[in-house]
Amino acid sequence: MSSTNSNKNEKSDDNGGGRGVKFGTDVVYDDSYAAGGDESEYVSSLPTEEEERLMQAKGVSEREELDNFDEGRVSNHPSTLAASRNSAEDKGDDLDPFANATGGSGLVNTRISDRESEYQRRRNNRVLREDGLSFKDAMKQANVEKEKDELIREIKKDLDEQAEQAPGETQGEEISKETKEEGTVKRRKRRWDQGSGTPNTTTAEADAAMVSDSETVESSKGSKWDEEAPGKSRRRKRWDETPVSSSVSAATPLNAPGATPVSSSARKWDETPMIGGGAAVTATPVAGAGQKSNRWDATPVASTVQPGVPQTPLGGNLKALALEREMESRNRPWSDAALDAILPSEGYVIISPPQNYIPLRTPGRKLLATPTPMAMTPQGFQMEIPVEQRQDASVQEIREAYGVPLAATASETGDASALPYIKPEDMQYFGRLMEDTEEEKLSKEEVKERQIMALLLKIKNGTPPQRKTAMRQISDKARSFGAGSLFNQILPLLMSPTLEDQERHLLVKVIDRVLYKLDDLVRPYVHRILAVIEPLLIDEDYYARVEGREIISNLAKAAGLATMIATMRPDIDSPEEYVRNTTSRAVAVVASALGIPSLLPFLKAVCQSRKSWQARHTGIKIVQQIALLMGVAILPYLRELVEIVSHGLVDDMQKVRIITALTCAALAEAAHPYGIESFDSVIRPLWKGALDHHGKALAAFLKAVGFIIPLMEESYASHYTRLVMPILLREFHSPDEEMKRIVLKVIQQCVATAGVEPDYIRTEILPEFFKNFWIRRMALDRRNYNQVVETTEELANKVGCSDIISRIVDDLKDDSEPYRRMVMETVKKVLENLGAGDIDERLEERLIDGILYAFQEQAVDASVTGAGNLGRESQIMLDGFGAVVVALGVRCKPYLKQVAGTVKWRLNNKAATVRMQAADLVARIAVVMKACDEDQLMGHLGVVLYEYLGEEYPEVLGSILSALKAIVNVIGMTQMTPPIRDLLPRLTPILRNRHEKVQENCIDLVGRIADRGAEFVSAKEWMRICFELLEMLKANKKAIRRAAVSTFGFIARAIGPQDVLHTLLNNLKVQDRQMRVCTTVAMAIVAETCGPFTVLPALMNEYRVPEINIQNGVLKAMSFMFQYIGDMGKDYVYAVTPMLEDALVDRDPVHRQTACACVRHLALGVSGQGCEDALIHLLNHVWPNVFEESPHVIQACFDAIQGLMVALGPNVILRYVLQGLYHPARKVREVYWRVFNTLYIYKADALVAGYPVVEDEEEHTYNRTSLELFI
Amino acid sequence: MSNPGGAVISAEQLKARYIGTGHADMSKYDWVTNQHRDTYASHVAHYDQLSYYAVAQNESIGRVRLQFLDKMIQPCGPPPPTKDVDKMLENED
Repeated sequence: MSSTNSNKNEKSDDNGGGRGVKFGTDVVYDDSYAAGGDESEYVSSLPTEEEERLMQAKGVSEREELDNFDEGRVSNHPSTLAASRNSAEDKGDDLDPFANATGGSGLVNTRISDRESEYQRRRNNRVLREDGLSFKDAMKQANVEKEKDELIREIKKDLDEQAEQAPGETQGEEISKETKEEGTVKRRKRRWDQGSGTPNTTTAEADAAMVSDSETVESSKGSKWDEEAPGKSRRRKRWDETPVSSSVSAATPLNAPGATPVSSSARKWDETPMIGGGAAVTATPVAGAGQKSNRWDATPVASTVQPGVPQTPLGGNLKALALEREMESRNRPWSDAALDAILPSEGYVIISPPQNYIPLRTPGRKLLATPTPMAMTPQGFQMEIPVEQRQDASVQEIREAYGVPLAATASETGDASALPYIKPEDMQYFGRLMEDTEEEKLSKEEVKERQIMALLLKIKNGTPPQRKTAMRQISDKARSFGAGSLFNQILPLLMSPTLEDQERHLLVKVIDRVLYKLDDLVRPYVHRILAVIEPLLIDEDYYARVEGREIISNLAKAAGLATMIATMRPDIDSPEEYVRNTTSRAVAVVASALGIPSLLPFLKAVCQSRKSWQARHTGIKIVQQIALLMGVAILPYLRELVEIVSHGLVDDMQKVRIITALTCAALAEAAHPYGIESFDSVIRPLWKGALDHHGKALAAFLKAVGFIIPLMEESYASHYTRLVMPILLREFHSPDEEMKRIVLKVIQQCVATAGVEPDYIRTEILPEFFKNFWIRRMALDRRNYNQVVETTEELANKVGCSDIISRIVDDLKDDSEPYRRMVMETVKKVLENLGAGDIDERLEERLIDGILYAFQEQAVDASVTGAGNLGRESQIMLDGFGAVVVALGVRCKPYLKQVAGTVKWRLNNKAATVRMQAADLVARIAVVMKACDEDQLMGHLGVVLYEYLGEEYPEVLGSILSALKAIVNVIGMTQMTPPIRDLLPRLTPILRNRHEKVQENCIDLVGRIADRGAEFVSAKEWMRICFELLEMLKANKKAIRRAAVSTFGFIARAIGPQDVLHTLLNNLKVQDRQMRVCTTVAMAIVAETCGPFTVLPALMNEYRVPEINIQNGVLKAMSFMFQYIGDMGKDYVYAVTPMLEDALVDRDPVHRQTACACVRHLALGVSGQGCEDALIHLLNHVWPNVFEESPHVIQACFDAIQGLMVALGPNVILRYVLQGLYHPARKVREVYWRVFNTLYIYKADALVAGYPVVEDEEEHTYNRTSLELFI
Repeated sequence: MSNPGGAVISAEQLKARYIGTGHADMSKYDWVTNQHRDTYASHVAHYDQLSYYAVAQNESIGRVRLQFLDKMIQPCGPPPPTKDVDKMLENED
């Protein structure tokens, strides 16, 4: 294990309060765990099921929501950009969405390492065990590491104690940790405090001081320190403010992989052999960044060697010499080799210099040249020597430097296609592919390695087709490649610091495929695979988590339970919290893959581990993860699971108690509403714990109680609610935000149970609740806000609407806008749930007054003027207003005038969002206005909106159109003002608007008018609209296309199909495929609305045009038509048969494909209508297509056969199939069996009557004699 | 045949779901055995057929049902001995 690791362990565990707090002493409350500092990295609580769902919806990891442990991460992930924008708006920042977009290959930065939190980055520190290490050895190693870790902590503790005694001397104190070698632990301590006044103390002095000091401190540890020669095995130190002496810095390059201490049994990822030195690594963020790396950044780093720059001693003469040499090398002519590398081999010849050319060799000229940098300039800027002039530069390096495409050297790629581009940062993995080598010279292993490398490169960076074939090849050949050589290449790639989302997805997919093929061969590599995949389980991207789970569950199935347990057991009590956290999640996945019962004995043993609290902690956490992962599927094992964890509630370690309480909560949540009897054994300790604990632990216990109470019977639930209430009321005053949220959640859960009486809530809870939580401060934090709203909603469900609303309604006029929003949202939810039945007149007035005030007083958010949708804030106000008006219904009548006035005023506002919101509000309340008989008012609003149709912002225009639509819908075409004949011509030009929202609303409105009020508009205007609609057929949004197509139907019905059809048929000639497809759909709709006979003649006539697109279009239109008209098709079967016959024997496969689709719909429509003769005729034309190769054609053909199977019965098809089931050619057999299987799947029973008679053979009776019985 | 998601069902999955489906290398014995079983299953599942056979054989319906169910075990007699070719094929896989 490297010292970096132990360093981190120590840090995290120390700060995490792992030690030093003895149970039973007066310091029961572990406040280092509770808040602040480094603990924020600690995973203190895990997502409940609901929170996990929430997280899926938002794409934001809940963990950071709860713990706030890394804010930067959220905004970096592309999938969460939107979420982060919202949160930024919350804070009032204006955030540049592209601020984080640099890096990676795409528009946004998708590089994983760039958005990782410090915690997630710990994956790089994970110590890997050797492949295939036996369980015994693995455990031994893990134990050694654990002991070492403990020792370090003890020493640290001692030091801390000393430091406390002498507070003035602590500044420079540091410990250096030593690596373990061959299982023995050597350590040494350095202290600078003796020499702290003189930072320039030489190393030797420091050593001496330190050694003597350490002896005094560590006398009990024996004389180990003396035996170790100072400076011999010194690896790494942290020197706070001490300047780094050159000898030390040379030995401590944080980045240079070669210098990282390597122990024989433990390996780290960053030791992967790298071509081209450490350059790529230096560019990457240093593992375990943050404060530690800052310290290192401050020191001049002499050891990060640029690969090309010759290392020169940087002192006086030598430097001058070096410069001179460099000048020489820079001015050297290009070598032939370098030229060969960058120029194509063909088309260039080497020509000899002209006869009269004499090279200039006058030294005097050199003096006039640009002066070179002074030799004495200290550490001046040095240009890197160009690649081609380096002695050791290989061909591909030169090519790389000059951007010459790295053409594949054909032999290794197999196919002629070139390899994909290799990104510079990938060179260390794939660089070797570029070497010119001859295959004969390579060993078998090397050839295999190169093959794998090429395949991986294609998968990672190739085009989709390349990727597809490579993926297939790698999984086909997986067994012959062997697990070792595959994983040796895949896993380092996955740990690459420049890995991006897409690449990770692809590589993970490779692992998945390969796993499937390798099966139990993966066993030796399980540990390494887990180490790479486990980090996915805590990724903030939901899909990454799912992917991780899938891989681990496949891995578990391939490797088997025994291997999985043996591999993960050592990690379960790892000193690293990160390792334990990820491992617990992985074990939970294994449990869900292999079944909980198989893991129960193991879990039981782990949870009862006496040796280490870490093991107990992890074991219990595994149970929690199982509950979160499997949900209600844990029910059969609930009792066992609860029993396994129950003793953890009275554990000595506080952390174990906390996780146990959280686990109980998770189990109860998963089991809801069943399984209370399984919790019998924990209710008492939980209750006791809730009484005994404070702070964080109390929060956990309360959470558990809160989740268990809803499972109880009414009387018990009521009893426990009354018991727990004093604690909750006490904690109302807690300053801890997390505690507040948990208290609210528990209140919500308690109140929801049936046994709790409304009166009790009114007298006991409400006063305190409103006093403590309905305050402005709660509205500022998003999570508090949500929890308060939810809890209030639940309280209202119990005590009724007016009780709650009368308490908060006056706050709608509060000064603080976020607070008004919170009130508004609550009012909305309460009214939506309960209606406005028990709101009396006085309250009604206050309510309307309040919402009008809140609506008018909204701050105008200038940042979103005219762009995008309504913000969350205005959306809440809008929803709230709409909900109140809808809930009050007719009772709104007296206030509608005022509301309309507000709307009119706001429609005239400068800010676009305000106008948009006002228009949206009209759409919401139109129904209520109609109910109040305010037709005149609505007509007035209609005219106002009509006047605003010139709106320039598309979002606002869209909202205005939707408001008009709402008004038209409720007052009808005849009553509408402005009259339809004025309104529609105004809409025609708007149809040309390209904005989706405008298009959608406009087409909806036009379609509605065409449907209900077509007669108000002239046929000419409708034709004009038809032309505009054609463009909409290729809209991106499906709703728009659908609306456009059905509008065609309405228009055709209004003005007759001829003109419309003519327009549509002409449109078949266009190039755009989507356009043609939609045109055909429109034609089919027209046929459906106006009757097929009006359309079919023109359609079939059009088929005679000898143009492929048109013919296809006609066929497709017919296919859609038969789909829509169903059994009406029986009248047209004989009419279209000759045409289909022609199409089915066409040379063009697409033609036949479309015809097949047509036959299918036709057959399905007319089944049982007595058209079998025509269908058999068509079947005879369809059947030869079964040997078609192209996937789409064959699919269409099988679909047609399937349709015919329905219409003709399976036995007709069976007659065709029987001919080829035992055909000598496999190709034929395969196809025929496929058809047979389809028949069998759909109509197995009917086939019984149709199977052929088979003659008996020897002892086999093949005759089905039962069928021969008759009466 | 397509599935939601577009992936084609693999042969093994198909066989697992519908035991009577076949493939290009299916032997005559296997296929006819399936036919027989399907036939008996069909007889047993349709009450009208069952009663028809009961009348034809002058047996009780329950007995006929039992008789059909019994016949489903090796309806065509013992399976043919495995040929060496098949063994080789198996070893290859």
